[in-house]
Amino acid sequence: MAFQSRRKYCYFKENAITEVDYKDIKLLKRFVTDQGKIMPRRVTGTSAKMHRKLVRAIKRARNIALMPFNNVSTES
Amino acid sequence: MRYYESLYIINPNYEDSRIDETMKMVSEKCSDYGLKIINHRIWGKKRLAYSIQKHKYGSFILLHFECKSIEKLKEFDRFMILQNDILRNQTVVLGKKPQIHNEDESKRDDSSSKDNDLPKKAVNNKDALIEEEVKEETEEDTKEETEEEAEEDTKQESAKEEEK
Repeated sequence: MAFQSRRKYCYFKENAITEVDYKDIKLLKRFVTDQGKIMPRRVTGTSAKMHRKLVRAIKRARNIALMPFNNVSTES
Repeated sequence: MRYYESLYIINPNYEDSRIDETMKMVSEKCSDYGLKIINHRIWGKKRLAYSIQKHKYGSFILLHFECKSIEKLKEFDRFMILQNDILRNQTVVLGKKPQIHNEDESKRDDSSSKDNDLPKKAVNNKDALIEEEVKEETEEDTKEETEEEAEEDTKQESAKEEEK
């Protein structure tokens, strides 16, 4: 049985988004793993141009404590 | 001349009056440094992704301003870092001039954005519109044809009457 690969597409190109805002956490969370790591481009299918903008936005959000650097709970 | 956006976090335990005081202090300092304020508003109290100075929540304040020299901006950044009330501060360059914020308009925008958040639907609508146009054209064509036929019929009838 042959596997059908799901076609990857750039989310930003599809939705005609040109700028990524670091305050838009709902959008940024789509491109981050549960641990809080930025997902690679080969997984998300984002275009190189938008991935650079996305990474900058995520890092800005981390600096201002809107997103975690690392989501592994140390309390338990 | 460039536009900047500064987002800073104030201690969450502060009351509204004290938040207003710190906002006033910041705006006064801005005018001292020659920064032209465009927007200065409370963005809301949010849960922080990680604790800062053992605070789990923070009051976020958003400040848009215009600045001519980078030296003044550095001084302003230094001032913000030294404040005890402000937990964290981040200034970012904006590509274009920010819109002046109105509370009434923002509420309307929120309600309208929920309706128009699917661009795929818009594409489908476009297709539907094109189909409708094509239908209208075909209907017009058929109407013209029927009118022409009717004219021909009347001409033939008039010719017959003349013969008689």
